[in-house]
Amino acid sequence: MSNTDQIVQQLKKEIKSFQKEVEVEEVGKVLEVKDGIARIEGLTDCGSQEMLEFPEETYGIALNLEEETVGAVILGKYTHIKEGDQVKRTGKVMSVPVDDDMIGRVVNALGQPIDGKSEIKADKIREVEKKAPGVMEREPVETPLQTGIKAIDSMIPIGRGQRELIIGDRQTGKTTVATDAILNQKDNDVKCVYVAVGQKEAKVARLVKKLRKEGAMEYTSVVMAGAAEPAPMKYLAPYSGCTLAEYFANKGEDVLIVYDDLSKQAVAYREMSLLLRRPPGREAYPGDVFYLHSRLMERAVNLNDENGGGSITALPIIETKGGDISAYIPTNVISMTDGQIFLEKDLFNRGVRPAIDVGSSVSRVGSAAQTKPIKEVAGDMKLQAAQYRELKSFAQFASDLDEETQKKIDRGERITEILKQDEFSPVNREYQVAIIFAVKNGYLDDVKVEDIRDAEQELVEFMDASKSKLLKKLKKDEWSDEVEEELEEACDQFAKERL
Amino acid sequence: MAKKFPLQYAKILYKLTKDIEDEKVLAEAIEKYVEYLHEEEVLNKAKYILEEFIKVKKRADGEKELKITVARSISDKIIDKIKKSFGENTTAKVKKDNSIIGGIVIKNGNKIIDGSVKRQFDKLKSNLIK
Repeated sequence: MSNTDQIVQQLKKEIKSFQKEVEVEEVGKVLEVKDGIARIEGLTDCGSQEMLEFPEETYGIALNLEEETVGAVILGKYTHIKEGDQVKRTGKVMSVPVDDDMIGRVVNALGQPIDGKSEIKADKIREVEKKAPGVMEREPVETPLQTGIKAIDSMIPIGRGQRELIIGDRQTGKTTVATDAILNQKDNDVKCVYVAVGQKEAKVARLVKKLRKEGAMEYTSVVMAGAAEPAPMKYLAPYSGCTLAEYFANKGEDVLIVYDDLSKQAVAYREMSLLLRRPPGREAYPGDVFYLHSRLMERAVNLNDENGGGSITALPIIETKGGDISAYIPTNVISMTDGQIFLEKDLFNRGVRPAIDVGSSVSRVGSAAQTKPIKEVAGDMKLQAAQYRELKSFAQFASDLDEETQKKIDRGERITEILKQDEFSPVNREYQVAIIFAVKNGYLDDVKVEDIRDAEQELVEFMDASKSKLLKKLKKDEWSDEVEEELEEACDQFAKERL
Repeated sequence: MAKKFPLQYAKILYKLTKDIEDEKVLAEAIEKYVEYLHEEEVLNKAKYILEEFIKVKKRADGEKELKITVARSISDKIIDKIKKSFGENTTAKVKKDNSIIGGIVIKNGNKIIDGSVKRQFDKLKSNLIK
C-alpha cells in the first residue's frame, strides 16, 4: 500500500469515528469596546475569570460581572471588534499550556512561542489562577538556593521555597542580580522561569542571548509580556509563569522564578481597573492590588514529599522611584515576602556592585537556608559590616584613631571589596567559603585595598591548582575542625607563596 | 457612576409601568420618566431605549423570538414545528445564508443551537489536525 493510500485510510477511519453533535452555546453582544476593554450584554451564566471568544479567534477574560453587563479585557488585538459583535462563552477559566518543552523557549503570557522556533506541543492545560498550597502541603524552608553572589549567599541567604524581593531604583542592577542567580543554577538541578513584564524587547533579547550563550537556556524558560503588549497580557504574565513553575514543582523539581518586575504589573492592573471603572484607591491603584501580588507570592512554596516534594523560589523585582521604599506597591510587596535585597543608587555609583545595601537587606529565613561551611565562616559578617559602617561614619570626624578601630575599619574595607563582583560571574560556594575565610581571618590584611580583587582571583587560582581535595570537601558542604585546619593551612601557604 | 445602556433604561421603564392600570397615572409616570431621561442626558437615545423596551416586554411576556438561519429555504411546516418546540408565543425570522453550507442554526435569545454543516466541518477539521 502506498503512502497516500495509508493516509486516505487513516482519514476515512477518523471521519467514520467522528461524532456528529449539535451544540448549544451561550452568546452575548458587544455593547462597547474601548482601550482593550469590552462591555458585553447577555452572557447571563458567565463565570468570573471565564475565557470569552470574540470574532477572529480573539480571546478575553470576563472580570466584571454586573447586573446587566459583563466587563471583559481583550487579550491581544482589539481593533477589529465592533459594537454588536457576537461573543461566545467558552466555559473555561483562563488557562495556559504547560510542558517540559517550554524549557529553552520564549513564550508570551498565553504560552504561545514568540521566539520564531517550532510550535510547542503542550498537551497539558492548567488554570492560571490557582489557590496557593495550604499549610498541610508545605514544609519549612531549609535547603539553600545558591545565587553565586557572595554578598547574598553569605549575609542574606535565600532558601528553596522562599520569596525574596529585589528592590531598588532603575539602573541599580536588579535584573543582573536575578540573572546571576539563574546562571548559577547551571549544575544545581534547578529549573528557572524568567517572567519579563513591561520590559523593553531589546533588553529581553539581550538577556536571552546571554542566557543562551552561557548554556542557561537549557534549564530556563522565559515568559514575556513586553512594553508594547496590552495591559491584560502584562497582568497575566506573572500568573502564567507561576503556573509553569508549579507544573515543574509538582513533578518534584526545584524551580526558581523571577518576576521582572511587579511594579509594571501593578501599573498594568491599574490601567485595566480604571478602564473597567473600578473605584481607584491610593495612588489610583484599585482596592485589590494587594491581593494581586499576595496571591502570587503565596504560590512560592516548599512542598512536602506527599505533594511532589518540589519547591518554587520566587525573586520578585520592584522598581522604586528615587529610593522611596515607603511608596504603596513597595511596602505592599515588602510585607508579603520573606525579606528583601535592597539595591542603592549611591553604592552603585561608588562602584560597589552589586549595589546591595547590607544594612537594609534582610532574609527572614536566615541561616536555616545556609550550608554549614558558609554559616560557620560568614556567621557574623553582617554584624561586622554594620560595625564597620558605624565606625566609618564616626571616623570621618576623628583626626587620629586608635589602632583597634583603624584595624576594624581596614578589615571592613577589605570585606566590602571582596563582596564586589562583576556581572554574569557567579562564584561557586566552595570558593566563596575560601575567600570569605581568608579575608575575615586577616590573611589579606597586608594587601592594599585596591589590590584585593586581584588577590581574590589569585586565591581562587591557587585553590584550584593545589587544594582540589579541600575544595571537593567544601563543595559537599563538609565542615569540621579538620576542614577548618586545612583551610587555615591553605590560606597560610597562599599568603606565603603568592603575596 | 458608570453610564447606563439603553437596555438598562428600558428595564427601568418596564418596572415603572408594568403594574399601572390607570391611564392617567401612566401618563404621569411616563412624564416623570422622560424628565429622568432628560436629567441623565440620554433623551437622544430614546429610539434605542424604545427598541430595547419592546424586547424587554416581549421577553417578560414569555414571547420568544427565534432567528433561524438556513442554507436552503425550508417549508413553513418545518418552521411551525420548530416554533412549537419552543412553546407557544414564538415568532421566528428566517434568514438564508449559504455560508453555513447546510443544516440549521437557531438563535433563541442568548442561546445558539448550532446544527450547521459548516460547524461540523470545522470540528472535523480541528479533530483531524490533532
